[in-house]
Amino acid sequence: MQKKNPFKVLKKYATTKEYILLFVGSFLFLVLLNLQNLAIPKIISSVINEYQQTLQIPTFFYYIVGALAIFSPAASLIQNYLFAILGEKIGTDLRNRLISKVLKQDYNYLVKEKSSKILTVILSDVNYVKSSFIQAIAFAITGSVLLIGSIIMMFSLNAKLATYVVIAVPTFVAILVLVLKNRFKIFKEIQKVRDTLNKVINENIKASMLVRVFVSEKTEIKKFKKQNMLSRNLGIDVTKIFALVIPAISALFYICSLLIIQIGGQEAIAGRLQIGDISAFNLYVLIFVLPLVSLSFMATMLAQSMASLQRISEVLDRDIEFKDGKEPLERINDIHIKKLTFEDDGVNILENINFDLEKEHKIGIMGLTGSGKTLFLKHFLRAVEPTDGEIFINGKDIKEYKSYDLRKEIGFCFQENFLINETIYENIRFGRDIEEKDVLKAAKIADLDEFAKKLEKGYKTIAGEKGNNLSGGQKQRIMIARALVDHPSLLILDDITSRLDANTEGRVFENIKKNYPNISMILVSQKISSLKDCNKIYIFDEGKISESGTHDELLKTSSLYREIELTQSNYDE
Amino acid sequence: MSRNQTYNLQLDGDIDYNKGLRLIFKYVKPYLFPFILISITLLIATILGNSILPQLLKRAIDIDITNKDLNGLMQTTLIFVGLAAIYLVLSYVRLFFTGKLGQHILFNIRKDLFNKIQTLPSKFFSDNQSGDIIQRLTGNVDTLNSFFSEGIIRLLDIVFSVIIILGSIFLQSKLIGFIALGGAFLMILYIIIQGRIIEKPISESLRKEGDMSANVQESLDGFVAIQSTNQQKSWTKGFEKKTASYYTTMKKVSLISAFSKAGLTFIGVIAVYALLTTSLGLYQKQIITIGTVILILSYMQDLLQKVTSIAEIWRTIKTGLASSERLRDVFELESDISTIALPYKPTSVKGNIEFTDVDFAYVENEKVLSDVNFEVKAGQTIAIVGPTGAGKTTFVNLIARLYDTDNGNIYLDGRDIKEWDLEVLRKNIGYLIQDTFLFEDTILNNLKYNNPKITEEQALQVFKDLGVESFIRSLPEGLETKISYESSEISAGQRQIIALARILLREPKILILDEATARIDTKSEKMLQNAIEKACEGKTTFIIAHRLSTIFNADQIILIKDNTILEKGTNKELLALKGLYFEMYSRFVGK
Repeated sequence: MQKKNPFKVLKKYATTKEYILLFVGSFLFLVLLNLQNLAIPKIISSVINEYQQTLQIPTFFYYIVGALAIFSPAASLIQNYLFAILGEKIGTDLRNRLISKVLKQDYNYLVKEKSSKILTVILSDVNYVKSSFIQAIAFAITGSVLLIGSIIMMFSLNAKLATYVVIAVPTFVAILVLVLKNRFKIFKEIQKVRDTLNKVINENIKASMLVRVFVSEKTEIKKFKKQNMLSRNLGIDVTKIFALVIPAISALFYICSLLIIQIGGQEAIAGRLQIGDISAFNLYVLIFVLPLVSLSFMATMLAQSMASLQRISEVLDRDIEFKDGKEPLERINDIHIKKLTFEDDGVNILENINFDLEKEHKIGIMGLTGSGKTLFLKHFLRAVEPTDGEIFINGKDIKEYKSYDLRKEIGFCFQENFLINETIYENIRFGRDIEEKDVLKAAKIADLDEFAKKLEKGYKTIAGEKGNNLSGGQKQRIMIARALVDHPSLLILDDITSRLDANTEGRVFENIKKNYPNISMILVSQKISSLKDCNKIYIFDEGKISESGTHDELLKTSSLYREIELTQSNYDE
Repeated sequence: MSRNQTYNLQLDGDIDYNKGLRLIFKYVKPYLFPFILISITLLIATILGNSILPQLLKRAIDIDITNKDLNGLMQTTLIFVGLAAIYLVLSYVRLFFTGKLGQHILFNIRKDLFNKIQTLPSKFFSDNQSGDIIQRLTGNVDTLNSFFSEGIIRLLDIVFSVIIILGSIFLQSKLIGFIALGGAFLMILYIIIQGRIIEKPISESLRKEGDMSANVQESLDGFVAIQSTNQQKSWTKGFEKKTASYYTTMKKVSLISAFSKAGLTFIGVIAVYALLTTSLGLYQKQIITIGTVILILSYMQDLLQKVTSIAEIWRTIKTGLASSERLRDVFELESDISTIALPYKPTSVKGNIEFTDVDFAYVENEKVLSDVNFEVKAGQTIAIVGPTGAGKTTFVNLIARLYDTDNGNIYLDGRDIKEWDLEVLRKNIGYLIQDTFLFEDTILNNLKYNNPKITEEQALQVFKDLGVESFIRSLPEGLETKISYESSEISAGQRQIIALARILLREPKILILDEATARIDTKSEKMLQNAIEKACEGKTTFIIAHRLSTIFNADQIILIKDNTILEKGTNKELLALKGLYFEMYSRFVGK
């Protein structure tokens, strides 16, 4: 993949009027405020100088103070506010762009990119860019204005003293950087030690059961102690650096004070520097040194936000691999899959799968966990694409159809309960434009009515995070209703009956048959009783179809099927 | 200790700062003397840096420059250099020892916390999210780190500095001292008030950020569901609503903090004006010199800077105390697995096990097992069957004392397991759990876990006994192959085999296999089956299994249903019962 220019991501903000106005506004006031800060020492020193001669505070001072008392807070208010708004606006826009882009990708993208990484990009990386990046720009502007301004002001006060300061300070900073340069390697090392420490903690918590049955508490304590000690010792080493750097910065100021007392004193005695100007000089030195000191700080901030910007740009600039078809699809009649193979990292997760679904048929799928059933089903949605082989719907390649139509025609009920923290009603509707009576009808078919009636708020009850307020069976029935509500012509139920008792399951299937007489169905289950009446049952084993046939055929031909029937079937029956 | 104790840690809610403070004090106490020494060094450095050194500039102006005394100026400069050097050395010493002290305290807290967690029973881990526990051990301890490095000492620094600077101004002029004191007081008041005002929108913005994060998490978790219902656009819109709402709150926060900064700027302008005009007035009356005027301005500069940083330090201290409280929550928990004074420590274990009238519930009044009675002779193999959720795993957990029975007793070799030394008991039990865990390390090191004497030969022998040595040979690096979470080089089934080998190397007398073969594909399972049978020889073995072959070969079969043993006996005996087992069996054989 070629590396793209990460700044392209920000181009929008440099060309849109709204952002430009905010930027120009806040930075104009920032520069003004800096100029004001540069002027203040000079004003104070002129007042002192005048006063020494006339014993009278010059009238201009009152005007200036009055003006500053109004201008300074007002400018600071406007600048800070506009500045923050600019950051927040960019942050908001970046986040919206990111989520919109991510949702347009196909499922494979998430598998490759890991959802935890995308979460970090959308939350922390955007935070870095919106605060650090913009602050770094502000630093750069403020720093250069102050640096140049203070040099000019110092020279205007006394050239000799200014020359000493302007030579001494950068020399000292350069020496400091050289001395410390090698020591900063420790920060990389400390990151490593921290990672190991965190890994030990992580593993200990995840292996809590193992630790207890192995009675390895003491081993764990020893392992942790070693890392903890390493971390402490490195921490002390870092302390040594900090203990050096902070006094070094103080030393920088003292060198300046020293120059002011000695050189400034000589100049004052010689009459080339006024007393009030000594105090002004003192303040300009502060203004001069601060940007130099914060330079390194700014560099790390910029590096960090550049890395964030890079990651954001990787998500935003990623091409969408999914190619949509053009053919409309009114209903799914039959599906024929020929020699489907799905490969990941050189391993065939699904291999040579042949599968047929005829009009209005009910197909069963059975197999152990990890045998590739769910992955196979995702092919129907084009959420994943096969490495090899073909899928035909109504005689045409699946890729020719509009994915919107395809997905509308399939009611897919997932194994994991994907419920959102909304009402039961909204969980069934799930954002689609569906009338209330249809939602209620689907709920009824999924046997939710009786349960909902018992609830104080009925269908307006909040499901909780991941549906935590509900039981496994209730969550499952909501998922069934969600899959049914948009009148699909194919219903796929991925191992959903494991959480329903036999009676409920029977009712649900009866309701579906009654209300959707023309629907086709693919049903994954571990329960033989659920699959008995299927037109055909496929048995998955290690990514292959090991056997297929009707219930009666399989009982004769497959020992695995017989075994499963005995031991995995529900003992209640 | 009460039964059915819960180990739930409080997630949020009101923070008891006193609790946090007590924990911190407990850990600072052993270092009280160095801490006092550091404080004294800090005090001396503050007097030197904030009060005396600025006065030398005044001395230069008022005495040397006014008298045009070049030698005096040199003298002042040399005094300045000397004092500055002392100050810098003191700073270094102070910073170094503060940092070192902080690291030692952190080390102790981390150590005690980790050790504490090792003493807590399994229930602690099922009652809490592992993320939360990890967060306490890592994030919260880190927050305490900044509490020590930036919090207390800097607060102390500010308190000392403000007092000393104000004192120095008072020494120059009482009138100006009062003005500065009043100004500082107003400013602190202002900072406290604005902190209160901004607290609400800030916590609101944190909540909205949480909402936003939850929304992203939901859309990533439900990615396929969103796509399958064609809801990409509506989800994007939904997220936009969250970001817009966050933006609105942040706008409020920005406005308030911009106002607050503007207020500080205003106070700053007024302070400079008041000090300058007042001190010039005093200069006119010849109460103070021109050097003093400049000195006072420089004091004021320091004072403004110190006072403004109070807000930030206060926040560090508050979050530090909150973290400390979260750690204290963990320290307050006690294991309910009881220990007795003189535990039973036999030199050899036979493996006879007996349950008498055993009851158990995770949550009060919701019995998972009740009235369980049965006996196992040493060396027997027992198959445990029954529907999901019937209590099979609980049953075997009780043997390993991962939980203690509520009523009734479990005997091993005739002694109540509660009288056994817990270490001896568990060392003799090899328990292959459902969700097996392997460390991110080599296979060999995983096998050596808590069993360092194991040699490479012994390890290979176990795989040979299991009949799976070909799997190790097929790996290019053999036993040195690294196991990692990401790579799929080693399958779930192979992981299970490694975990089983790890257990067998410990040579346990009792073997517990909880659905050991559930995740292993059919081929590997058959391979494992023989190996397990070999492994069982001479050991009392409990197998929770689904496969018939395992069940047929067992010496005893226990059918658990409705929280108790419904049927028990050999395959033959159970068939003769013509009960549930018979029904299951005939369904298989009959067709």
